Amino acid sequence: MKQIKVVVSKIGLDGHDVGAKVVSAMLRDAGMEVVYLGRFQSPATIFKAAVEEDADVIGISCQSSNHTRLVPKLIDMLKKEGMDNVVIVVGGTIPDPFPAELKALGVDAIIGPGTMSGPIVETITSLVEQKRQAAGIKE
Amino acid sequence: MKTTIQGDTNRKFESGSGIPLKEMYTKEDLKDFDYDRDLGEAGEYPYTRGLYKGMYRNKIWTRRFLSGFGSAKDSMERLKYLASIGSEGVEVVNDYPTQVGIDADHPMAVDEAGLVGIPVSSLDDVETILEGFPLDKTTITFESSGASGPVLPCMYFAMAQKHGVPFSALNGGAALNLYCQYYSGFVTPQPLDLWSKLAVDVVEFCSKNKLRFATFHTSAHNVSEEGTPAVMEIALGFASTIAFADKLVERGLNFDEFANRVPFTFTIWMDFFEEIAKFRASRRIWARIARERYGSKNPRAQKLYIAARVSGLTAIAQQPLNNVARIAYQLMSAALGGCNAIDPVMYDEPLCLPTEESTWLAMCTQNILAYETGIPNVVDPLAGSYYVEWLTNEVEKRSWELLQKILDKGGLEEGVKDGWIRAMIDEVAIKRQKDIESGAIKLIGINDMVLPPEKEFKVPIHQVSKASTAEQVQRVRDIKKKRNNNAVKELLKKLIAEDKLDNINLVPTMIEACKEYATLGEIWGSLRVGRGLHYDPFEMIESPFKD
Repeated sequence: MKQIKVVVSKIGLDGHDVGAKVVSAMLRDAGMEVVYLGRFQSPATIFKAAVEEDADVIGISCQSSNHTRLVPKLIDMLKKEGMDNVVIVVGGTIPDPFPAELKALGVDAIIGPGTMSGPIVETITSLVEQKRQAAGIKE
Repeated sequence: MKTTIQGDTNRKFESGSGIPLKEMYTKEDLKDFDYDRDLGEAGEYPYTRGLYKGMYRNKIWTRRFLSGFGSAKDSMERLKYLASIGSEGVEVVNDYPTQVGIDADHPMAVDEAGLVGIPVSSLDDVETILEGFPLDKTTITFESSGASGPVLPCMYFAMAQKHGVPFSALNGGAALNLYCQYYSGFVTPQPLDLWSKLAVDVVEFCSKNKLRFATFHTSAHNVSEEGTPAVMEIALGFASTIAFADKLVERGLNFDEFANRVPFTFTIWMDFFEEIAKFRASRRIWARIARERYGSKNPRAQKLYIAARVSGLTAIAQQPLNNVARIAYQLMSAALGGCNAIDPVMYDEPLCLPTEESTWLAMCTQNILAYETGIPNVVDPLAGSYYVEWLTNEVEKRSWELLQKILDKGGLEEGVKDGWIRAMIDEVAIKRQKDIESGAIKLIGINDMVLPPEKEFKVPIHQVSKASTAEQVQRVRDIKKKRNNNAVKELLKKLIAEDKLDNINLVPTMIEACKEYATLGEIWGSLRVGRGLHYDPFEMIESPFKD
């Protein structure tokens, strides 16, 4: 299978990015290519990076409830540009009822606090495989 | 259902900082112990046993909460609620736009204003938040040492002048030490040198005017919430305090004057005895730094006033009610360690901002400790324990070693440029995750006593409404229309001119600008312009007063 490329980012003004960095390290250990955008990214800068990097996956780390405000904006941009092939994963502090709401908007997976690296890697790998198959991309 | 791990073989017998532990400690471990040198009485150098004679017999630790969210009005209502249940004083922690130094109506802020923390764009917000809190009778601590750090005290001083309250009557303080902040989640994109100049200006202003308002305040808490356990927290905290003190001395200020009060915010981690050792060792370390590095003669400057805050990182999202037990143990370690002010987090910390119910529960947890357990009856009750004294010595020794290493490499400011400190912090976080995955660290609800999702505890979730954020954005837009814009323009021009000269204390002009409702974003923007930078750190907006 072609190497999976993941753009990992914080969204908005919250600078608590240890979680994003720990997950980036996990994904690299699992053989994925990770581009970590860092702090103070807006939906627009994340969108731009995902296009430029031709990312398979966008991973957003949220700690301060901004999943409710900024993630929907990013999804809108991706939808408008018809980027259905990109897997969107949101991780962090996302209490009920938001996982269901974000999934309804088009987020592919929500990864809550305390999730181990095994399930994270498996989830991302299987979502990328599904999207690649749907797009007719050969392994 | 497999619940708990029995008879596990991979238990590690070491402290949170990785100090190897023996199965028992004896007199052999305290061969060099010298009561007078190492402990002394409470209230006496080196303050190992506590800052004051009698400690909690005379006054229980200060019980309070960090709080605030939504609009300035929502925040005021929560602060009133906290005061009504016995929280002492007001702790102002800002939302992210404020910490970054931009206004609520900035394009990067309009979705995030008040989402977490108190939004403050202008004096108008400070007036609303503090409505009904008499300034001369309320201890107000500005906990945010982001870009708002040096500006909020100016708004507060402006409010005092407008209300006819003399500066000398103001209590509380501001956590102005910015160096730790650079390694925390509250980092700002504002330039470090300008930030540092402003913080030094505020301390100089307070020191020269002999204010009680304490500004020589380090929050090691924010950096340790990145995941650094006790030894690293102490070393980074004091390296940060030294970086700040050196800047102040370089400005020509007298150590014993600006350090007349030394508040220091620590995190309370889960390792019960290591935390107790941390608090005891830290008082001893600071007393020595004050005397030996700065030649202090003022006992007040040698006393580390510890405000301990329960870690948000150790609270666990799964089965959140278990956090009530965690928080109780953590509060107990802070009380046994002789901390002066103790803040809990609430059990819902890993899920959302606290509800009124979770806040009430945390206040009760504090009061059970204060009034039912008997712990406050005797000063430093664990002193003389072979284990506690040995661990206090060991934590102290290792902290000195790491502190010395940081100083040898040029200190915290140099570390920002070099990146090695950041790398050290990140490595600890990655290692912790690996230890959790291997089971070397056991966390109830995560890798032990795990419940399937359908059995998960349901608790109320507090979310800030979009209407509150919109209200806050509108408040800022309104004040920008209502105020005397000519006066604001002239004062910001004056600020830019003074900033360019680089040798003028900017606080008096900032206070004047705040009185006219110049905003946080405008003040930072003007100072950036004075330095030849773009008005806006995100380069998205221009100065409204551009000629």
